[in-house]
Amino acid sequence: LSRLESVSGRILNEIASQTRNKAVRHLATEILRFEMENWKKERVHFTEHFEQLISQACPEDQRRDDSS
Amino acid sequence: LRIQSIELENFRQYRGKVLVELGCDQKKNINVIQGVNGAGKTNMLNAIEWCLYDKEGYLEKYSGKKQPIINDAELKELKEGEKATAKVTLRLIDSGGRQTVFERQISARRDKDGITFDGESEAHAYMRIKQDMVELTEREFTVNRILPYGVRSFFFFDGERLDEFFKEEKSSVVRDAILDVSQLSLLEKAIEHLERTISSMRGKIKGDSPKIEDIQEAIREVEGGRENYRQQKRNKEEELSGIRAQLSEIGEKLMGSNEPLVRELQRRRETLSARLKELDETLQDNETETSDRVVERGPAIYATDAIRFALQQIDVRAKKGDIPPKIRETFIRELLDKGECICGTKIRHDSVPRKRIMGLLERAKISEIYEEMVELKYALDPMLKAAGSFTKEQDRLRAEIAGLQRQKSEAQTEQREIETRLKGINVEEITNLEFTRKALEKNEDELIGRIGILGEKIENATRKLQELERELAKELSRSERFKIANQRLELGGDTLTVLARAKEKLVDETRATIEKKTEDYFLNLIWKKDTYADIKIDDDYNISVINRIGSECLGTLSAGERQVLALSFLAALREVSGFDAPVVIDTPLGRISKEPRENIAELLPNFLEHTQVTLFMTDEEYTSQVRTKLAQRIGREYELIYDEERSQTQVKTLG
Repeated sequence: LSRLESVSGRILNEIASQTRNKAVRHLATEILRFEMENWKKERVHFTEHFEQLISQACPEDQRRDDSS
Repeated sequence: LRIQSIELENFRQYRGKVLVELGCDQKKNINVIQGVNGAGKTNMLNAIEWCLYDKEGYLEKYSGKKQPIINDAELKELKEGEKATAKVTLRLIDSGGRQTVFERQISARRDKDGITFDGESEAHAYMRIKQDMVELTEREFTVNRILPYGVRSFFFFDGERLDEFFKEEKSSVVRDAILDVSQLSLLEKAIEHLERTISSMRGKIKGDSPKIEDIQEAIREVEGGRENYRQQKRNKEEELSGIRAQLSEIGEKLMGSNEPLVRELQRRRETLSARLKELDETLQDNETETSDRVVERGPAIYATDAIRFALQQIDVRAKKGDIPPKIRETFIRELLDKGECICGTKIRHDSVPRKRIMGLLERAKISEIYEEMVELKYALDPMLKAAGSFTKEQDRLRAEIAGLQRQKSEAQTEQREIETRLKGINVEEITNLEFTRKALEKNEDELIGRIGILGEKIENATRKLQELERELAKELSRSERFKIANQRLELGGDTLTVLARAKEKLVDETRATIEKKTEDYFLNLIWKKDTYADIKIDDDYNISVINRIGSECLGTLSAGERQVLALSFLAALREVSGFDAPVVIDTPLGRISKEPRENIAELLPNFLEHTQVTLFMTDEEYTSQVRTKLAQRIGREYELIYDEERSQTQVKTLG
C-alpha cells in the first residue's frame, strides 16, 4: 500500500466507526476517492459528480431503479 | 528511499553537466555539500524541487528576484538558430533496489528577434525494470506516491527558516503542516465540496408551496450571510497575522539593539508576555471550573432540604425494620387472591387472618421500591456531601483566582513600566519602535475581539441554518413529490456530519501523536536534560515548551534549543506522514553559535537515523569540530566552488 492509500484507509476506518449506515459509508468513500484523484488540481468541477454520487447511494433512488 | 545522484546541466550557475553522486549507505547516511554563500547550495536544493514539482521553493532566499533557469553564460553565447537547454536529472533508489529516474528540462532559442524561452518545461519519469529503463506514463502520480508537494517542505527545508513554526502568527503553518502530513486536507476538501453540493441541490428544488420557497429563500440568505462572515473572519485573521509578524519584527529589532538596557528590557518584556499568557490560561481554566461547579452542583444546593428529607425517610424506614423488606408485596397479594395462607389457614373475606395479612401488605409495599431506594441513597449521599463542600471549594477557587489576578496585574504594571522606560530612552529609533508597537498592540486587541464576534456570528448562522434545514426537510416530507429529493438531502447531510466528525477526531489524534513524538525527540536530544519537562501543541496549534517547574518557556529558549525543537517537530511530522523520502537541509546550523552547533551536529544523525540526509552548509557552519562530530556518518562530501570569472560553479569531491 502506498502512504496515500494507507492514510485514506485510516480515514475510511474512522468513517466506518462513525456510522453503520451503508449508504452513508458508500457515499463518503466515493467522495474521498474523488478528492484523492483530484487533490492536486486547483479547479475541480465536483457539484454534478457529487449529485450523481448522492443519487446513486440514495436507497429511495435504488428502489425506484429496481422497480422500473 | 535515497537520492543516488543529482545531475545538473546548464541549471543556473551550473554550466555544462555536473554530477553529484550521494552516499546511500544506511550507516553513513549523511552527505555534506559545502560552499560559501552564493556558491550554489540553495540552487541545488531548488534543482531537486524543480525537477520533481516544477517549482522552486527557495528561489528568492538571497537575491529576492527571479533569474532564468538556463545558465546565463550559456544564453549569452547562444548564436542565432541555436538552442540552449537546462536539465535536471534525479536518480532515486528504494530499499528493494528499484531505481526511479526523474528528468525535467527547459529550452530557449535565439532567433533574429532575440531569445525565446519554452512556455513549459518537459518532464519524464523512468523506472528500471531489469536492464531496461521504462518510461512511466503517470509521472505526477509517481511523484505523489514518493512525496506529495504539500508534504515536501518537511523533507526539503531551509534551516534558517525553521524558527517560523514557533511564532504565534504562524500557528496556521503548524495547523496546515499537521493537516498536510496526515492527508486530512483531503477530508477538509471533501467536506467543503459536499457542503456546496447540498446547498446547490437544495436551491434546485422547485416547490409548489410558498412555504418551501420561503424556507429556501431564508436558507439562501443565511448561507450568504455566513459566507460573508467567514470571508470577513479570514480577512481579519490575515490582518492579525500581519500585525503579529510586525510585532515580532519589532521585538527582534529591540533584542538586537546596540543598547544593552533596551535588550534587557525587551527580554524581560518577552518573559512577562509568556507569563501573562500562561496566567490568562490558568485564570480561564479556574473560571470555567468555578462556573462548571455552579452548574453541576446548583441543583443539589437548591434541593438540599429535599435530599435531606428523602435520606431521613430512608433512615426511618431502615430503623423501623421495613427495609430491607422481609416479605415481598407480590407474594402477599398471591396469598390474598388464593384465599389461603402457606400454613393452610383459610383467609376469607373479613376474617381475622385476612386482616392480619392485609396489615403485612401495608408494610411490604416498600419491597417494590426497595431497589430504587437503595440506588437513591447511594446517589443522594454524595450529592449532599458535594453540596456541603461547595462553599468551601468555591472559596478556595475564588482565592486562587484572586491570587492569579493579582499576579496578572503586577505583570501588566511591570510591562507598562518597561514601555515607559523604553519610550524614555533617548534613541529616536527605539522611541519610534515603542510607539508603533503600542499602536499595533491596540490593533491586535481590537482584531482579536472582532474575530471573536465574527466567530459567534458564524456559529449563530450555522445554528439557524440547521433549524431551517430541518424545517425544509419537514415540509418536503409532506409531499410525495419531494420524497426522493428529501432523502437525497438527508443522505448528503448525514454524510457531511460523519465526515466532519471523522475529521475532528483524526485531527485531534494526529495532533496528539505529533505532540508526543516531538516531546520524545526533544527531551531525548536536548543537552539540558533537567530543564525541560513537556511539549504542548494547543487547540490553536501554538507550540509551547514547559520546564520542570511547570512554566511555559518557549520565549526563553536559545537559538540552538529552538533549532532542536524545530528539528524534533519536523522529525515527528515526517514520522507521522509515513513517507520514506530523503531529507535535504539547507544551512542547518546557520543561526547557531559555536557550542550548540557542535551539539546539534552530534545529534543530527540520531534525528534521522534511517533516513538519507543531505546537508548544504557554509564554511562557517562546517567547521572542523562539526566535521569531526559527523565524521563517522558521512557518506559523500563535496565542495561547491564558484568561479567568478566564468560565472559558474564547479563541484569538488572531498574526503
